[in-house]
Amino acid sequence: MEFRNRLLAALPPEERQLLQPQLDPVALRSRQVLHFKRVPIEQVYFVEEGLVSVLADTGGTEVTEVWLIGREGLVGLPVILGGIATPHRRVVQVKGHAFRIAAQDLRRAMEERLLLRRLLLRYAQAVLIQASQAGACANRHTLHQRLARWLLSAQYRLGRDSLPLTHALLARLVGARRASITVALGALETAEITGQRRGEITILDRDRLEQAACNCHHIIRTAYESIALEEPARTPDR
Amino acid sequence: MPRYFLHVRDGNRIYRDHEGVMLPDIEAARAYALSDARDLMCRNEDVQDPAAWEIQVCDQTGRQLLAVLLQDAVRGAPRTTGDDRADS
Repeated sequence: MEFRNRLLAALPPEERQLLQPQLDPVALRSRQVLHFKRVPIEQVYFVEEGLVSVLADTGGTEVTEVWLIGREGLVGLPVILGGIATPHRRVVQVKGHAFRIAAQDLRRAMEERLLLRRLLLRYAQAVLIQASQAGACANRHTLHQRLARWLLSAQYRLGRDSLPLTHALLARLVGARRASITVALGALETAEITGQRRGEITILDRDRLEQAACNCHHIIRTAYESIALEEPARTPDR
Repeated sequence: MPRYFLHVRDGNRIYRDHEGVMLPDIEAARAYALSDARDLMCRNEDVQDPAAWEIQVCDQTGRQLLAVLLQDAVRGAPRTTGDDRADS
């Protein structure tokens, strides 16, 4: 079977075959909540297509997106790290599909399979780099730089140039008001870097969008790209 | 709750809001527009001359209900730098 999910695709064939019987193909519906906050996580999702956002409480009834998950990763990082629940909610923003595995099955597989464990821990490392870099980015970089970074991030995770993202979602990711996003996107459109139709933003000139983004995009992307790098050439002890 | 659409105009062009936002009433829409205007003033490098900018609040039929000038919004914003009023 071919996997679009980068973690599953990076597994050596024999590891993948062992995991495969426990993977259930499921649809990800728009607005579907995959994990509620503070509820034990029972299922982990390897995203094949679509976009899931991780939402943090920011006081009262307010929530804000903290990061996005697509085909580069999985929904359920706390399970990898030995956690039970999380203060964050995980919601499908762009519909698609995923392979679902029971958290206990994944825990057991990680105990038994060294290469799987290493791969998923490298993924956790990439998410940690992303989270800390994004914190620094939010303090230091301009709205235009951060908007460009999030558009590139969404493109990387969705694996396509047309991004069905609302201005409201981008505003929460960037940490700006919706009008500021609308105006900044208008400027990108004038420069023919992105195009817009209702409910969809298309990246027309990726090179120039990368120039418009801060370097945080490269730092985060490099962290994700290095997950799948080849293991040291030696026979793993299982 | 009605949906309000907040278009931004800068004298030369209009940045259309196709999504809109659900708010209880027109006063909530005004407050929302003022917050948007402050964010545009403070953070958006596209805004060079605030005097040329406004936010138009429209209903679902496209009828304009009110407009907020960016330069009006700043008066209600908390000052983070020196106060230039003469307090004598």
